[in-house]
Amino acid sequence: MIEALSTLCGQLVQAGVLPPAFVHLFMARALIAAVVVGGVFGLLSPLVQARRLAFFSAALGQSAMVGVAVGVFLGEPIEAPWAGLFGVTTLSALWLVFARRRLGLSADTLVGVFLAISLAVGLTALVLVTRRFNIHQVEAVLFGSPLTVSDADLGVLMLVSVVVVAVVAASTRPLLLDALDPGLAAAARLRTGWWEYVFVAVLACAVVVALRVVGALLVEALVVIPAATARLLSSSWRRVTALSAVLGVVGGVAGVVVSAASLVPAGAAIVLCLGAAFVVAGLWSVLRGGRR
Amino acid sequence: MSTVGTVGTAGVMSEAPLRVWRRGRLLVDGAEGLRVGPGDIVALRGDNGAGKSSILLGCLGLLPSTLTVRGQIGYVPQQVRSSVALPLNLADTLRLVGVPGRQHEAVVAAAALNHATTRPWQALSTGERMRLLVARAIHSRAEVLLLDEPTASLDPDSRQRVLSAIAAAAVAGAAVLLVSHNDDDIAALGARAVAVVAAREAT
Repeated sequence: MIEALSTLCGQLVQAGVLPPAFVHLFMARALIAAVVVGGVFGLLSPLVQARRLAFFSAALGQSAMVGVAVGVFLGEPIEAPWAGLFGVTTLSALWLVFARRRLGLSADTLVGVFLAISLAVGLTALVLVTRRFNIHQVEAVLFGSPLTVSDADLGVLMLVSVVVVAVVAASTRPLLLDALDPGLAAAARLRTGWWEYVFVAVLACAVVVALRVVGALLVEALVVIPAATARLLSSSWRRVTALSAVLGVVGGVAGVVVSAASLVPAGAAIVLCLGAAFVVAGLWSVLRGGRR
Repeated sequence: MSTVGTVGTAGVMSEAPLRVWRRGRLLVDGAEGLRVGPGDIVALRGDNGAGKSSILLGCLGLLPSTLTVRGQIGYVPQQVRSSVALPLNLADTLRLVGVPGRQHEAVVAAAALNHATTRPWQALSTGERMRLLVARAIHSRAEVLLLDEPTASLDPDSRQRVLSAIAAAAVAGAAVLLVSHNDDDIAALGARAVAVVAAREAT
């Protein structure tokens, strides 16, 4: 599939549609990664906002630095410490939900404390484990790049995206009804607590695979902007979800193309394209007469 | 607390003393139990903060309590959240609360909201939302109705319609437990009033 897409990209380069960089095979991988990550986060985005988990997602991205250190400590290669990343990020997500439910603290306070500490602990642990300060490794986690995605990364990405689609399909009703009113969800005998844990665990896995593409600092944009933009254009849950997923995919593709045609890093270009769509949708919404 | 009525296959029951806790703190400590059987209408009365809504949350399993509920539950909360973070229209909300698409028209008609089917949930007034949830709870033929001040935000016509629907549901066999501050409502429904006193005052 990658070769076929690369050949198509080559033809489009010859036709002058795509920038010259698309003759390279890694650009086809970058396109696939951006499409899948954009689509996955576009799909997750409305539920993340309904459950007020945007700040939480940013904290998970930053906890990834601890995951890298743990992975390296366990003997994984520093460029692909998947067990450390998935393990630490998922456990962090589950712990945050458990702590919020048990301690009665506001989610913002708890996540704010965790966000600051996790990055500091991650940087310290990485130095302790690698015995040196490797700024390139830190950059890779913080900023990511779809241009460096390998075939193995794409495999992990595809696997996570299938799980995300399945969990979003199954958890939407309990999580949304619980957000509307916990009593309504309880009356329907939906296991909202269980689904919240499942959802944040899957969100954590999606954040991990997104680190490769946009990095920890920009992952929050992926979970916020698609649904926020779609929300400006529609008031129906189904339409918002569909629009959000489409915007995620289009933003991913547009970002990779803009990046290849300029010096803008791909992660930043993806977020800029999504941001431009948000501004246009905002103007459209204002011109149509304000809030829906 | 008073204990009257019988519980058949469906209903609400608590042996005496009726207790509800939140985070380990006792909120409600009624000397007597509570029984709401099929066809019964029981109204919980008491001051603000006495724990009336907490008893309903105890019935739903959201707070630890001595209450048990048997049967399908129709619940109407005191207020339903309306947030821009929840992009829901009326049809989305009906789907969420479990109303199949083929029944949307009937529920919307029962709530007298035919004019609002495509309106965003947040654009409905509190009274309109309440009418829809009451209509849905009753239309679902729930065996146990838990209603938290169902007429508090309603205009006189809507209030009358909701009271008639509640009375009809009880006649059809539903066990109704409602929170109300309105003596006229309690009298109109022929409900048995149960006084709720906060635990700190009761002990």
